[in-house]
Amino acid sequence: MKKRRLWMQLVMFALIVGLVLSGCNKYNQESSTPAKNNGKQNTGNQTDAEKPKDKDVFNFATNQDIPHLDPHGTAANTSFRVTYMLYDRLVTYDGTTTEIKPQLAEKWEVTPDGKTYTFFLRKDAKFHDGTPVTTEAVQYSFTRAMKLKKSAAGIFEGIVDDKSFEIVDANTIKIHLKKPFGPFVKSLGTVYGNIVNPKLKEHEGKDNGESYLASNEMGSGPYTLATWDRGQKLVLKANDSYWGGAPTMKTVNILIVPEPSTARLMLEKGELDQLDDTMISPDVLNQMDGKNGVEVVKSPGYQIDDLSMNMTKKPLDNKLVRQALAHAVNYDSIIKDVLLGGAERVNGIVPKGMFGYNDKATLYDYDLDKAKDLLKQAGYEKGFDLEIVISENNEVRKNIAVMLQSDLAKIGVKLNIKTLAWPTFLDTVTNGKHQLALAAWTPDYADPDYNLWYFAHSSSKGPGFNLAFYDNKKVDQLLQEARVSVDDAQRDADYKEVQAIMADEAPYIFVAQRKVQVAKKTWVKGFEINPMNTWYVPFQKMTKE
Amino acid sequence: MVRRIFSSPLTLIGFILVFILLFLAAFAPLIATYNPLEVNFSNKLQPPSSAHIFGTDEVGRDIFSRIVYGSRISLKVGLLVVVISFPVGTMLGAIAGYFGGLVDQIIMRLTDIFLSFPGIILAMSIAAALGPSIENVLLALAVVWWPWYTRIVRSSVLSIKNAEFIESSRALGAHPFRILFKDILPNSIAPASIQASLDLGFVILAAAGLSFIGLGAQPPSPEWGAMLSSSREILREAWWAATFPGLAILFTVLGFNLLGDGLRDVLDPKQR
Repeated sequence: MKKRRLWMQLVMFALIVGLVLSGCNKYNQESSTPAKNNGKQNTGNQTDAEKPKDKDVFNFATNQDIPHLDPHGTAANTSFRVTYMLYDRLVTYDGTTTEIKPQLAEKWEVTPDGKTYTFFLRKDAKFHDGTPVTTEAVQYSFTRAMKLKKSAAGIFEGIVDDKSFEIVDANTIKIHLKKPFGPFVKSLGTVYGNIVNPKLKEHEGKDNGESYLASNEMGSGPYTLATWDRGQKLVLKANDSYWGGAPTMKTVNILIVPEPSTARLMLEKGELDQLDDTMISPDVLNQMDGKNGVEVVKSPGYQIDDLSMNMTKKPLDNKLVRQALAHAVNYDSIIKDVLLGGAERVNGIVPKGMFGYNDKATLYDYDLDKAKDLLKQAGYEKGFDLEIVISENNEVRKNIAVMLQSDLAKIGVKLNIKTLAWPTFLDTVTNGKHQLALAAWTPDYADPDYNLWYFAHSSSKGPGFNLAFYDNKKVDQLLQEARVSVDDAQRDADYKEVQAIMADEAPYIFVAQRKVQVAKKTWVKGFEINPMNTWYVPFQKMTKE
Repeated sequence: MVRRIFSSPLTLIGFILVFILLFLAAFAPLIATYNPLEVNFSNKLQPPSSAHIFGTDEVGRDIFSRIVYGSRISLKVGLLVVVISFPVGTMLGAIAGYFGGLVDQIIMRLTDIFLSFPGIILAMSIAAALGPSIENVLLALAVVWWPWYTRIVRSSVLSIKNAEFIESSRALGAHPFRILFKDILPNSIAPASIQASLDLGFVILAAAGLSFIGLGAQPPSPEWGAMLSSSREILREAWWAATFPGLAILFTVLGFNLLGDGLRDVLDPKQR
């Protein structure tokens, strides 16, 4: 019986290999014949590949599933991409800018003490069921976000509570802050500031409507949810009576394609128009660019790849050891060979180009001799074992880890790499069960508060994403001071000082600041990458030509 | 007997393939041309050439050297899984077959439970629960592998336990365990040991499969399945990075199976 199974397996294997190879062959022919024949014979093929079939249907692929559609309850980027389209916010980030623009709020005012904000809503905005968007909806949405106590509550915590809202009329609302919060308006432009139709009350149940909104929408955005086949495909339909004008793309299909190479083939064949920016490794992106009607758009990004060193674990509690490790990372080679130039060096968690960036903070160089010296001073001449955790299906992180492993071996440190599935990875690092962990961070709003608070404040340890479990009283105090200050010069100085302290104490190694690289068909026009909201794809104004 | 084994060309091919594998594993440091773990980014994804006969992978490691060292990992996993699960399986099978009754019922229902899950799925869940590492894969495969031997041994024990020479031992007053281990087991173990030699290939395939989906060997280990997995995305640009580890797996599994088939023909003509 087993023998028969073997032959079945061999036959299946041969079949699969055959199919894969034949697929390759076909692809090779398609891409090489035009060059040989000067494109003469292949004109039929070529026009097929260069003209989009349906100009108002957009096909987008991602390899990560969409878990949940609650605008206040999810922290998954793949969900953000959808909720940005289903809901409007008071303010928004649009195009490539990190400055806020009006969306539902036409304008806003702030009192000189920085504690009372008045928002004036536009009058033509309507929810998908036809009811107008009023200030009641604003109060309802923000109160709900706080009651839910999920990801969105973080931006309101300690700053507003359910008594902070004062409705002046249907289109004017005052929000009284408990204490000044510099980036308040900026924070309302993130997904967490989404405005929900107060009719949600009918579906609230016992969980503030979370289970209802997980797979339904009650927004006012340019798109409505048409169908959602979990793990397969989510379809958005244009809201033609949108106050900002009818969206250009009438249908947006968001397809879940787990295997990046499949997505690549589909893109090249024209079955897809654009891919999620995180799913293809730089090596492959370089190969795709400029061929088969595909282009790779590169643009500055605020994503920072970081290596957190859990300071509660020996020997990482020793500053000299952490500094030694920071000197053992071959930054230039990672940028050149792993990220293929799609990144630059950065000395802290505040990205270059953002307010408060400290260009004078120590930038560690790759120097194994210095690293060895530091280990000697720390009393670890003989070296030690370390473990790094990375999440699976991420070639870049795996290659960075492998490179670090070979460099650390030269200074006597044996690095073990552990690859974990994403949920297990999150569980491990947020509970501090790791020694080293490779991760990345992109801010939701352009203010150093967002990055530094979550990386350095002691209250953010673990789930807040302070994965180094960094605890420094001075840093805490500076961050708290800067958070409530309305004086930009003071905030700037505070943030720069925090970065200088962190660079010296090295709870994290900052590997690189990435450029965003998006693979799309050349026929896709009007796509702009926002350096922080990389998952904000403006389907409503993109076209296919 | 040796002549009988090699009278079949397929068995001979199997033997040669297995011999090559053993040779590679034994003399890996002498055969490999580079350090299998040495990262060299300036040299990555080089096609096969005289310097790197199988080319280099996505971080510039020599694929030939990695395959050579990888043979040690595959062989280790294959042998250890069989070495762990074979004695356990045969012992339980012999006890179930000889004593019968309630003992038989308990043991056989237990094997039924294990066999009712697809082996690789059960191994996957065990490996996932224990955390990804090649040692855990080894453990997981050993846990799912023994029931096969139990079944085979039990059925051959059943067929001989009433044979006359067993009767005579019993009549002489031998202890049941003496009968079981001295008389019955040696005469009923052949089919199971053939199965074990066939299984080496399957175990290696299963271990490579688990490593392919990320549950097994961790980077930078040159495990074949893991090599396949990390190079599949670049298959179209660098065919060599996935092809050679794939061929290594193919020939290893084929080798053990051809050899196992040949051994069965010789040792157990009834089973043909």
